[in-house]
Amino acid sequence: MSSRATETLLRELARELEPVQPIPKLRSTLIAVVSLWLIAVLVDAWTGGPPPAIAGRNLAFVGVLLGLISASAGATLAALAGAVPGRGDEAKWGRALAVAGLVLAAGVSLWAVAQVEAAASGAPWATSLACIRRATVLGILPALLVCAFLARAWARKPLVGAGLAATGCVALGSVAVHLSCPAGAGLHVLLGHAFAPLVTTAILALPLAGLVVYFRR
Amino acid sequence: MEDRRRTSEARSQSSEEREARWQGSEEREARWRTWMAAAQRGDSAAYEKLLLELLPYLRRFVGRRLRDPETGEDVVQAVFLSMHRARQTYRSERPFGPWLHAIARNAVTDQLRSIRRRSGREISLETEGLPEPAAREVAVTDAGLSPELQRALASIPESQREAVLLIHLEELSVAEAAAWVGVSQSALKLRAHRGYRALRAQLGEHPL
Repeated sequence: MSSRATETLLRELARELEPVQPIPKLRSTLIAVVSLWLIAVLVDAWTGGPPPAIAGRNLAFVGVLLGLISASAGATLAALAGAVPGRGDEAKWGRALAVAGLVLAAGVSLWAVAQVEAAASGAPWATSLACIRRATVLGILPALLVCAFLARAWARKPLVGAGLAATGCVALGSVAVHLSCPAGAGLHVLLGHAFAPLVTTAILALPLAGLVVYFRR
Repeated sequence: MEDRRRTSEARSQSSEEREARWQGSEEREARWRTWMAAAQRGDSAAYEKLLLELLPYLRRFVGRRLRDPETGEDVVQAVFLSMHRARQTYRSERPFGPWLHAIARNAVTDQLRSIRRRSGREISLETEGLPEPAAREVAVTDAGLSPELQRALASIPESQREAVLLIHLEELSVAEAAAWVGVSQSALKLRAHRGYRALRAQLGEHPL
Protein backbone atom coordinates (compact mmCIF):
# COMPACT_ATOMS: atom_id res chain seq x y z
CA MET A 1 0.00 0.00 0.00
CA SER A 2 1.51 3.34 -0.94
CA SER A 3 1.76 6.30 1.39
CA ARG A 4 -0.45 8.31 -0.97
CA ALA A 5 -3.15 5.68 -0.50
CA THR A 6 -2.92 6.31 3.26
CA GLU A 7 -3.40 10.04 2.85
CA THR A 8 -6.35 9.39 0.53
CA LEU A 9 -7.84 7.06 3.14
CA LEU A 10 -7.48 9.70 5.85
CA ARG A 11 -9.20 12.35 3.74
CA GLU A 12 -12.04 9.94 3.02
CA LEU A 13 -12.44 9.10 6.71
CA ALA A 14 -12.65 12.81 7.47
CA ARG A 15 -15.10 13.44 4.61
CA GLU A 16 -17.44 10.62 5.73
CA LEU A 17 -17.20 11.55 9.41
CA GLU A 18 -20.39 11.30 11.45
CA PRO A 19 -20.85 12.58 15.00
CA VAL A 20 -20.69 10.01 17.81
CA GLN A 21 -21.72 10.08 21.44
CA PRO A 22 -18.76 9.25 23.70
CA ILE A 23 -19.25 6.22 25.92
CA PRO A 24 -20.11 6.92 29.58
CA LYS A 25 -17.36 7.24 32.17
CA LEU A 26 -16.31 3.94 33.76
CA ARG A 27 -17.24 5.27 37.21
CA SER A 28 -20.78 6.17 36.07
CA THR A 29 -21.22 2.73 34.52
CA LEU A 30 -20.05 0.99 37.71
CA ILE A 31 -22.51 3.07 39.75
CA ALA A 32 -25.28 2.15 37.31
CA VAL A 33 -24.36 -1.56 37.66
CA VAL A 34 -24.57 -1.40 41.46
CA SER A 35 -27.83 0.58 41.26
CA LEU A 36 -29.42 -2.05 39.01
CA TRP A 37 -28.30 -4.73 41.46
CA LEU A 38 -29.84 -2.82 44.38
CA ILE A 39 -33.12 -2.52 42.48
CA ALA A 40 -33.05 -6.27 41.81
CA VAL A 41 -32.39 -6.97 45.51
CA LEU A 42 -35.26 -4.69 46.60
CA VAL A 43 -37.66 -6.29 44.13
CA ASP A 44 -36.56 -9.72 45.35
CA ALA A 45 -37.16 -8.72 48.99
CA TRP A 46 -40.52 -7.15 48.13
CA THR A 47 -41.69 -10.29 46.33
CA GLY A 48 -40.98 -12.52 49.32
CA GLY A 49 -37.25 -13.19 49.11
CA PRO A 50 -35.39 -13.98 52.36
CA PRO A 51 -34.37 -10.97 54.50
CA PRO A 52 -30.73 -10.34 55.41
CA ALA A 53 -29.46 -12.74 58.10
CA ILE A 54 -26.25 -11.26 59.44
CA ALA A 55 -26.55 -11.74 63.24
CA GLY A 56 -24.37 -14.44 64.76
CA ARG A 57 -22.24 -15.02 61.67
CA ASN A 58 -18.61 -16.00 62.03
CA LEU A 59 -15.32 -14.92 60.54
CA ALA A 60 -15.64 -17.39 57.66
CA PHE A 61 -18.87 -15.64 56.65
CA VAL A 62 -17.04 -12.31 56.54
CA GLY A 63 -14.17 -13.85 54.58
CA VAL A 64 -16.48 -15.23 51.89
CA LEU A 65 -18.38 -11.94 51.77
CA LEU A 66 -15.18 -9.94 51.24
CA GLY A 67 -14.05 -12.41 48.60
CA LEU A 68 -17.32 -12.10 46.67
CA ILE A 69 -17.28 -8.28 46.87
CA SER A 70 -13.69 -8.22 45.64
CA ALA A 71 -14.45 -10.67 42.81
CA SER A 72 -17.47 -8.64 41.77
CA ALA A 73 -15.69 -5.28 41.78
CA GLY A 74 -12.61 -6.66 40.05
CA ALA A 75 -14.32 -8.64 37.29
CA THR A 76 -16.76 -5.85 36.46
CA LEU A 77 -13.97 -3.27 36.32
CA ALA A 78 -11.87 -5.61 34.16
CA ALA A 79 -14.78 -6.12 31.75
CA LEU A 80 -15.45 -2.38 31.38
CA ALA A 81 -11.83 -1.16 31.32
CA GLY A 82 -10.79 -3.91 28.91
CA ALA A 83 -13.13 -2.43 26.29
CA VAL A 84 -11.62 1.06 26.42
CA PRO A 85 -8.24 1.69 24.73
CA GLY A 86 -5.67 3.07 27.15
CA ARG A 87 -7.33 1.61 30.28
CA GLY A 88 -5.25 -1.58 30.20
CA ASP A 89 -3.79 -1.03 33.66
CA GLU A 90 -7.23 -0.82 35.27
CA ALA A 91 -8.27 -3.97 33.42
CA LYS A 92 -5.17 -5.77 34.69
CA TRP A 93 -5.77 -4.71 38.31
CA GLY A 94 -9.42 -5.65 37.96
CA ARG A 95 -8.54 -9.17 36.81
CA ALA A 96 -6.07 -9.55 39.71
CA LEU A 97 -8.69 -8.37 42.20
CA ALA A 98 -11.27 -10.76 40.74
CA VAL A 99 -8.94 -13.76 40.99
CA ALA A 100 -7.93 -12.81 44.54
CA GLY A 101 -11.59 -12.48 45.52
CA LEU A 102 -12.62 -15.83 44.05
CA VAL A 103 -9.63 -17.54 45.69
CA LEU A 104 -10.49 -15.95 49.04
CA ALA A 105 -14.17 -16.92 48.85
CA ALA A 106 -13.42 -20.49 47.76
CA GLY A 107 -10.48 -20.85 50.14
CA VAL A 108 -12.39 -19.71 53.21
CA SER A 109 -15.33 -21.97 52.30
CA LEU A 110 -12.99 -24.94 51.89
CA TRP A 111 -11.43 -24.18 55.25
CA ALA A 112 -14.92 -24.04 56.80
CA VAL A 113 -15.75 -27.42 55.23
CA ALA A 114 -12.60 -28.88 56.77
CA GLN A 115 -13.44 -27.49 60.23
CA VAL A 116 -16.94 -28.94 60.57
CA GLU A 117 -17.20 -32.63 61.30
CA ALA A 118 -20.97 -32.94 61.20
CA ALA A 119 -22.55 -33.84 57.87
CA ALA A 120 -24.05 -30.95 55.88
CA SER A 121 -27.76 -30.53 56.60
CA GLY A 122 -30.07 -31.48 53.76
CA ALA A 123 -28.90 -32.12 50.25
CA PRO A 124 -26.14 -29.60 49.51
CA TRP A 125 -26.58 -29.72 45.74
CA ALA A 126 -30.32 -28.95 45.79
CA THR A 127 -29.99 -25.95 48.10
CA SER A 128 -26.80 -24.84 46.34
CA LEU A 129 -28.54 -24.83 42.96
CA ALA A 130 -31.29 -22.66 44.44
CA CYS A 131 -28.67 -20.14 45.61
CA ILE A 132 -26.85 -20.22 42.25
CA ARG A 133 -30.15 -19.57 40.48
CA ARG A 134 -31.01 -16.67 42.79
CA ALA A 135 -27.53 -15.11 42.38
CA THR A 136 -27.92 -15.35 38.59
CA VAL A 137 -31.36 -13.72 38.65
CA LEU A 138 -30.01 -10.87 40.80
CA GLY A 139 -26.96 -10.42 38.58
CA ILE A 140 -28.41 -10.80 35.08
CA LEU A 141 -29.62 -7.21 34.58
CA PRO A 142 -26.31 -5.67 35.66
CA ALA A 143 -24.53 -8.19 33.38
CA LEU A 144 -26.69 -7.07 30.44
CA LEU A 145 -25.85 -3.44 31.21
CA VAL A 146 -22.12 -4.23 31.16
CA CYS A 147 -22.58 -6.07 27.85
CA ALA A 148 -24.41 -3.04 26.44
CA PHE A 149 -21.34 -0.98 27.35
CA LEU A 150 -19.06 -3.54 25.68
CA ALA A 151 -21.15 -3.43 22.50
CA ARG A 152 -20.78 0.37 22.34
CA ALA A 153 -17.12 0.42 23.33
CA TRP A 154 -14.20 -1.47 21.75
CA ALA A 155 -14.40 -5.04 23.00
CA ARG A 156 -11.68 -6.77 20.96
CA LYS A 157 -12.36 -10.05 22.78
CA PRO A 158 -16.14 -10.19 23.30
CA LEU A 159 -16.05 -13.65 24.91
CA VAL A 160 -13.54 -12.54 27.54
CA GLY A 161 -15.46 -9.33 28.21
CA ALA A 162 -18.79 -11.14 28.46
CA GLY A 163 -17.24 -13.78 30.73
CA LEU A 164 -15.90 -11.11 33.05
CA ALA A 165 -19.27 -9.33 33.01
CA ALA A 166 -21.03 -12.57 33.98
CA THR A 167 -18.48 -13.34 36.72
CA GLY A 168 -18.60 -9.84 38.18
CA CYS A 169 -22.35 -9.41 38.14
CA VAL A 170 -23.23 -12.91 39.37
CA ALA A 171 -20.66 -12.46 42.15
CA LEU A 172 -22.60 -9.30 43.04
CA GLY A 173 -25.76 -11.40 43.08
CA SER A 174 -23.97 -13.89 45.30
CA VAL A 175 -23.21 -11.11 47.78
CA ALA A 176 -26.94 -10.57 48.29
CA VAL A 177 -27.52 -14.32 48.48
CA HIS A 178 -24.72 -14.78 51.00
CA LEU A 179 -26.11 -11.99 53.20
CA SER A 180 -29.56 -13.55 53.29
CA CYS A 181 -29.02 -17.29 53.02
CA PRO A 182 -29.80 -19.04 56.33
CA ALA A 183 -27.72 -22.12 55.45
CA GLY A 184 -24.25 -21.61 56.76
CA ALA A 185 -22.69 -25.02 56.14
CA GLY A 186 -19.25 -24.74 54.54
CA LEU A 187 -20.04 -27.09 51.64
CA HIS A 188 -23.23 -25.20 50.75
CA VAL A 189 -21.42 -21.84 50.90
CA LEU A 190 -18.64 -23.22 48.68
CA LEU A 191 -20.97 -24.70 46.06
CA GLY A 192 -23.88 -22.26 46.19
CA HIS A 193 -22.19 -18.92 46.90
CA ALA A 194 -18.47 -18.99 46.10
CA PHE A 195 -18.78 -21.12 42.95
CA ALA A 196 -21.94 -19.43 41.64
CA PRO A 197 -20.05 -16.84 39.52
CA LEU A 198 -17.91 -19.50 37.83
CA VAL A 199 -20.78 -21.92 37.20
CA THR A 200 -22.93 -19.20 35.68
CA THR A 201 -20.08 -17.76 33.62
CA ALA A 202 -19.53 -21.16 32.02
CA ILE A 203 -23.18 -21.12 30.90
CA LEU A 204 -23.75 -17.44 30.10
CA ALA A 205 -20.44 -16.25 28.63
CA LEU A 206 -21.14 -17.46 25.10
CA PRO A 207 -24.72 -16.12 24.76
CA LEU A 208 -23.69 -12.80 26.31
CA ALA A 209 -20.75 -12.58 23.91
CA GLY A 210 -23.17 -13.25 21.08
CA LEU A 211 -25.29 -10.30 22.24
CA VAL A 212 -22.22 -8.05 22.36
CA VAL A 213 -21.22 -9.00 18.81
CA TYR A 214 -24.80 -8.67 17.51
CA PHE A 215 -25.39 -5.20 18.95
CA ARG A 216 -21.91 -4.01 18.03
CA ARG A 217 -22.75 -4.05 14.31
CA MET B 1 38.03 21.28 33.28
CA GLU B 2 37.27 22.23 29.68
CA ASP B 3 35.86 18.74 29.09
CA ARG B 4 33.70 18.98 32.20
CA ARG B 5 32.36 22.38 31.10
CA ARG B 6 31.61 21.06 27.62
CA THR B 7 29.87 17.98 29.06
CA SER B 8 27.82 20.15 31.41
CA GLU B 9 26.89 22.49 28.53
CA ALA B 10 25.91 19.53 26.37
CA ARG B 11 23.82 18.10 29.22
CA SER B 12 22.02 21.38 29.89
CA GLN B 13 21.45 21.90 26.17
CA SER B 14 20.05 18.42 25.94
CA SER B 15 17.79 19.04 28.94
CA GLU B 16 16.69 22.38 27.41
CA GLU B 17 15.91 20.56 24.18
CA ARG B 18 13.98 17.96 26.11
CA GLU B 19 12.14 20.68 28.04
CA ALA B 20 11.26 22.43 24.75
CA ARG B 21 10.18 19.08 23.28
CA TRP B 22 8.08 18.33 26.37
CA GLN B 23 6.40 21.74 26.27
CA GLY B 24 5.87 21.17 22.57
CA SER B 25 4.40 17.78 23.28
CA GLU B 26 2.09 19.21 25.98
CA GLU B 27 0.77 21.69 23.40
CA ARG B 28 0.51 18.91 20.86
CA GLU B 29 -1.41 16.69 23.32
CA ALA B 30 -3.80 19.59 24.08
CA ARG B 31 -4.26 20.19 20.33
CA TRP B 32 -5.02 16.53 19.63
CA ARG B 33 -7.51 16.36 22.49
CA THR B 34 -9.32 19.42 21.18
CA TRP B 35 -9.42 18.10 17.60
CA MET B 36 -10.56 14.65 18.71
CA ALA B 37 -13.40 16.14 20.79
CA ALA B 38 -14.40 18.27 17.78
CA ALA B 39 -14.28 15.20 15.54
CA GLN B 40 -16.66 13.38 17.89
CA ARG B 41 -19.09 16.25 17.35
CA GLY B 42 -18.77 15.76 13.57
CA ASP B 43 -16.15 18.44 12.70
CA SER B 44 -14.53 16.99 9.55
CA ALA B 45 -11.92 19.75 9.22
CA ALA B 46 -10.61 19.17 12.74
CA TYR B 47 -10.60 15.42 12.15
CA GLU B 48 -8.62 15.70 8.93
CA LYS B 49 -6.04 17.95 10.64
CA LEU B 50 -5.75 15.44 13.48
CA LEU B 51 -5.33 12.41 11.21
CA LEU B 52 -2.75 14.08 8.98
CA GLU B 53 -0.77 15.29 12.00
CA LEU B 54 -0.81 11.80 13.55
CA LEU B 55 0.42 10.16 10.35
CA PRO B 56 4.19 10.67 10.77
CA TYR B 57 4.05 9.63 14.47
CA LEU B 58 2.26 6.42 13.66
CA ARG B 59 4.56 5.66 10.76
CA ARG B 60 7.52 6.00 13.10
CA PHE B 61 5.82 3.93 15.81
CA VAL B 62 4.92 1.11 13.43
CA GLY B 63 8.17 1.35 11.48
CA ARG B 64 10.18 0.56 14.59
CA ARG B 65 8.18 -2.60 15.15
CA LEU B 66 7.73 -4.14 11.71
CA ARG B 67 10.41 -4.96 9.17
CA ASP B 68 8.55 -4.58 5.86
CA PRO B 69 7.69 -0.97 4.93
CA GLU B 70 4.69 -2.07 2.84
CA THR B 71 3.31 -4.17 5.69
CA GLY B 72 4.05 -1.23 7.96
CA GLU B 73 1.95 1.08 5.81
CA ASP B 74 -0.90 -1.49 5.89
CA VAL B 75 -0.69 -1.50 9.67
CA VAL B 76 -0.69 2.31 9.81
CA GLN B 77 -3.90 2.26 7.79
CA ALA B 78 -5.31 -0.42 10.12
CA VAL B 79 -4.52 1.81 13.10
CA PHE B 80 -6.41 4.72 11.55
CA LEU B 81 -9.38 2.49 10.71
CA SER B 82 -9.46 1.14 14.28
CA MET B 83 -9.17 4.65 15.62
CA HIS B 84 -12.07 5.72 13.42
CA ARG B 85 -14.27 2.80 14.51
CA ALA B 86 -13.38 3.28 18.18
CA ARG B 87 -13.62 7.08 18.25
CA GLN B 88 -16.63 6.96 20.57
CA THR B 89 -14.42 5.37 23.27
CA TYR B 90 -12.29 8.47 23.69
CA ARG B 91 -13.29 10.82 26.50
CA SER B 92 -11.86 14.34 26.20
CA GLU B 93 -11.08 14.66 29.93
CA ARG B 94 -8.53 11.84 29.57
CA PRO B 95 -5.14 12.09 27.79
CA PHE B 96 -5.11 11.30 24.08
CA GLY B 97 -1.66 9.66 23.89
CA PRO B 98 -2.41 6.47 25.88
CA TRP B 99 -5.67 5.98 23.99
CA LEU B 100 -3.96 6.19 20.61
CA HIS B 101 -0.99 4.16 21.80
CA ALA B 102 -3.25 1.28 22.90
CA ILE B 103 -4.97 1.19 19.50
CA ALA B 104 -1.64 1.33 17.63
CA ARG B 105 -0.05 -1.37 19.80
CA ASN B 106 -3.03 -3.69 19.29
CA ALA B 107 -2.88 -3.19 15.52
CA VAL B 108 0.82 -4.10 15.47
CA THR B 109 0.19 -7.18 17.66
CA ASP B 110 -2.66 -8.30 15.39
CA GLN B 111 -0.44 -7.93 12.34
CA LEU B 112 2.38 -9.94 13.90
CA ARG B 113 -0.09 -12.70 14.85
CA SER B 114 -1.45 -12.69 11.32
CA ILE B 115 2.06 -13.03 9.89
CA ARG B 116 2.78 -15.96 12.23
CA ARG B 117 -0.50 -17.68 11.31
CA ARG B 118 0.06 -17.27 7.57
CA SER B 119 3.59 -18.56 7.85
CA GLY B 120 2.38 -21.59 9.83
CA ARG B 121 -0.21 -22.48 7.15
CA GLU B 122 2.09 -22.07 4.16
CA ILE B 123 4.13 -25.12 3.20
CA SER B 124 7.37 -24.38 1.48
CA LEU B 125 8.32 -26.84 -1.26
CA GLU B 126 11.89 -25.71 -1.31
CA THR B 127 13.46 -23.98 1.61
CA GLU B 128 17.10 -23.92 0.60
CA GLY B 129 18.25 -20.54 -0.53
CA LEU B 130 14.88 -18.88 0.11
CA PRO B 131 14.49 -15.99 2.54
CA GLU B 132 13.39 -16.89 6.07
CA PRO B 133 9.61 -17.04 6.67
CA ALA B 134 7.97 -13.87 7.97
CA ALA B 135 7.05 -15.51 11.27
CA ARG B 136 10.71 -15.62 12.25
CA GLU B 137 11.11 -11.90 11.73
CA VAL B 138 11.84 -10.13 14.96
CA ALA B 139 9.13 -7.73 15.97
CA VAL B 140 11.58 -4.83 16.15
CA THR B 141 13.26 -3.22 13.25
CA ASP B 142 14.79 0.05 12.32
CA ALA B 143 17.16 0.97 9.54
CA GLY B 144 19.48 2.50 12.16
CA LEU B 145 19.63 -0.50 14.53
CA SER B 146 22.11 -3.31 14.20
CA PRO B 147 20.73 -6.86 13.79
CA GLU B 148 22.21 -7.77 17.21
CA LEU B 149 20.39 -4.89 18.88
CA GLN B 150 17.18 -5.79 17.09
CA ARG B 151 17.48 -9.39 18.28
CA ALA B 152 18.27 -8.29 21.83
CA LEU B 153 15.31 -5.91 21.90
CA ALA B 154 13.03 -8.65 20.63
CA SER B 155 14.14 -10.92 23.49
CA ILE B 156 13.13 -8.58 26.36
CA PRO B 157 9.54 -8.22 27.65
CA GLU B 158 7.32 -5.93 25.59
CA SER B 159 6.80 -3.37 28.35
CA GLN B 160 10.56 -2.97 28.80
CA ARG B 161 11.15 -2.88 25.04
CA GLU B 162 8.53 -0.15 24.69
CA ALA B 163 10.17 1.92 27.43
CA VAL B 164 13.66 1.54 25.93
CA LEU B 165 12.41 2.40 22.41
CA LEU B 166 10.54 5.50 23.55
CA ILE B 167 13.18 6.91 25.88
CA HIS B 168 16.52 5.85 24.44
CA LEU B 169 15.79 5.53 20.73
CA GLU B 170 12.91 7.88 20.04
CA GLU B 171 14.37 10.24 22.67
CA LEU B 172 11.12 11.20 24.30
CA SER B 173 11.39 12.59 27.81
CA VAL B 174 10.26 10.29 30.63
CA ALA B 175 7.17 12.45 31.17
CA GLU B 176 6.31 12.35 27.47
CA ALA B 177 6.87 8.61 27.18
CA ALA B 178 4.88 7.91 30.37
CA ALA B 179 1.97 9.98 29.04
CA TRP B 180 2.15 8.13 25.72
CA VAL B 181 2.12 4.69 27.33
CA GLY B 182 -0.32 5.62 30.10
CA VAL B 183 1.74 4.67 33.16
CA SER B 184 3.38 6.69 35.94
CA GLN B 185 6.83 8.13 35.32
CA SER B 186 8.36 5.94 38.04
CA ALA B 187 6.84 2.81 36.48
CA LEU B 188 8.22 3.76 33.08
CA LYS B 189 11.67 4.55 34.49
CA LEU B 190 11.73 1.14 36.16
CA ARG B 191 10.78 -0.61 32.92
CA ALA B 192 13.41 1.35 30.98
CA HIS B 193 16.05 0.59 33.60
CA ARG B 194 15.28 -3.15 33.56
CA GLY B 195 15.19 -3.20 29.77
CA TYR B 196 18.48 -1.36 29.47
CA ARG B 197 20.05 -3.70 32.04
CA ALA B 198 18.84 -6.74 30.10
CA LEU B 199 20.29 -5.30 26.88
CA ARG B 200 23.59 -4.58 28.63
CA ALA B 201 23.74 -8.18 29.85
CA GLN B 202 23.39 -9.36 26.25
CA LEU B 203 25.34 -6.75 24.35
CA GLY B 204 27.90 -5.29 26.74
CA GLU B 205 28.37 -1.94 28.46
CA HIS B 206 26.90 0.45 25.83
CA PRO B 207 24.19 -1.49 24.02
CA LEU B 208 22.47 1.51 22.34
